Amino acid sequence: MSEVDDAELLRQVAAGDEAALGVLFDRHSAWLQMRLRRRTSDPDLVADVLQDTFVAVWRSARKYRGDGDVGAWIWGIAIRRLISLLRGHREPLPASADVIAAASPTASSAEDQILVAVEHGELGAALGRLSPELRTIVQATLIDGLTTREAARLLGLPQGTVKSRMRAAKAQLRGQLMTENGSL
Amino acid sequence: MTDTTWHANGDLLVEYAAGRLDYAAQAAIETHLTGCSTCRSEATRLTDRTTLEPVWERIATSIAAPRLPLPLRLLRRLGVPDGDLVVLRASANLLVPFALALLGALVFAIIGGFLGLHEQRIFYLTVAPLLPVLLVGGAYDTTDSLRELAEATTFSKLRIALLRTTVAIGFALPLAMLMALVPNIALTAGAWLLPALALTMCALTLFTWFSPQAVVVALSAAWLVVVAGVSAGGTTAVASSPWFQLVFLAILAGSAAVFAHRLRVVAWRRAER
Repeated sequence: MSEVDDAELLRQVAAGDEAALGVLFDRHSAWLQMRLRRRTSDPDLVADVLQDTFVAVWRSARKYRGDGDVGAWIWGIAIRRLISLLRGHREPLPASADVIAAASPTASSAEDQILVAVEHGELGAALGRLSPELRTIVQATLIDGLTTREAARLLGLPQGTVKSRMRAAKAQLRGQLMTENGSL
Repeated sequence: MTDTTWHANGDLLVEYAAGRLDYAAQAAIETHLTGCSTCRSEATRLTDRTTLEPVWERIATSIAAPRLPLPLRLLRRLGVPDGDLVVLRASANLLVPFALALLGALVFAIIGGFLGLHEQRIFYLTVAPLLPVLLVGGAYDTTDSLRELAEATTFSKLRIALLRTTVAIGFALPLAMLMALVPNIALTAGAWLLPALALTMCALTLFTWFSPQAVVVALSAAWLVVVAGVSAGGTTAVASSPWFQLVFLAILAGSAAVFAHRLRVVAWRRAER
């Protein structure tokens, strides 16, 4: 495997290079599979999601806006496809894939950057202390990268509820980090 | 995001994959994995490739299939099953009848411009009902190249023909209606619809016995005779008369009944074979 970066590979995919898609698949399919299997126990469903996701990448590579990590962009497609399939929406892929690819925010928001700090311990512990209902919201929005609207649909909650719980979760996280860190 | 110093080591990833981590650790791994190429490679190393190879094969097959042309994508949006679309797509020749229809419409408009009112009406009455028949004939004939497919799959040749007929008529009817916009023949415009449908139905029914060429020629000849008879009196008004329309309604109903019967017979024969 060469050292070509993912964004460059996506450009090649957009130009119709199947080998470039193969490299992307080699780099990303394993961790995507790992993450998806933590969201559903059905290996066949995960395989379907992976297939649809990379077909969507093939068709929509030019819609990648060039900001944020390509891995996060692909995850955005995969998690939305998983939700769609979990609901039994077997709609033809092309239409939804284009919409998904255009709508997928890349994980570059300030919250996500902060969340990367989870690995250093404090925030992780703070997350662990959140109530289950707040944690679900954090999972759907900050970690899985869904929009407020998508999270609301996924969890069957009004958007307002998602927003207010999100605020409450952030406040709790911030509060706990301040007491532990004295900063941030 | 790839410049973080911390990395999920192999053991941690194994624990994560097995679902043995607590929520906080799981969240940490997930946000980290998404942005860290080092840990993604580690995940790749830990993953059994045999689960992913079949997925890649399906992807490769899927992207190798060329994207459907716009009309077929529209049909898919309308709920036409993929199997049917594949059959339609396989008939590249489908474009020929469409092109002929467009050409016919243009020629019609040009010729119509040179004709007097009466001739224009006769001309319109002649061409409009034959247009779908010609298209359906063309569409049916192209199915010959698909014979192997028809033999090998559950698609009967008639089903393929029906699919294409639907598409062909979908093109022919709007074209004929466009023609009706030519000034001065609007009066005749309504008269052609029932004959057109009746002739198309007859054509489909006759296809179950005879070659498409023979059917199209015979039906065209028959229709020319009818038009000649209608316009002999110096007017095409007869074509709009109730009895004329009733006759073609009866022909439509009769041929539809025969066609439905033939479909069952053919399906039964296939099942027996």
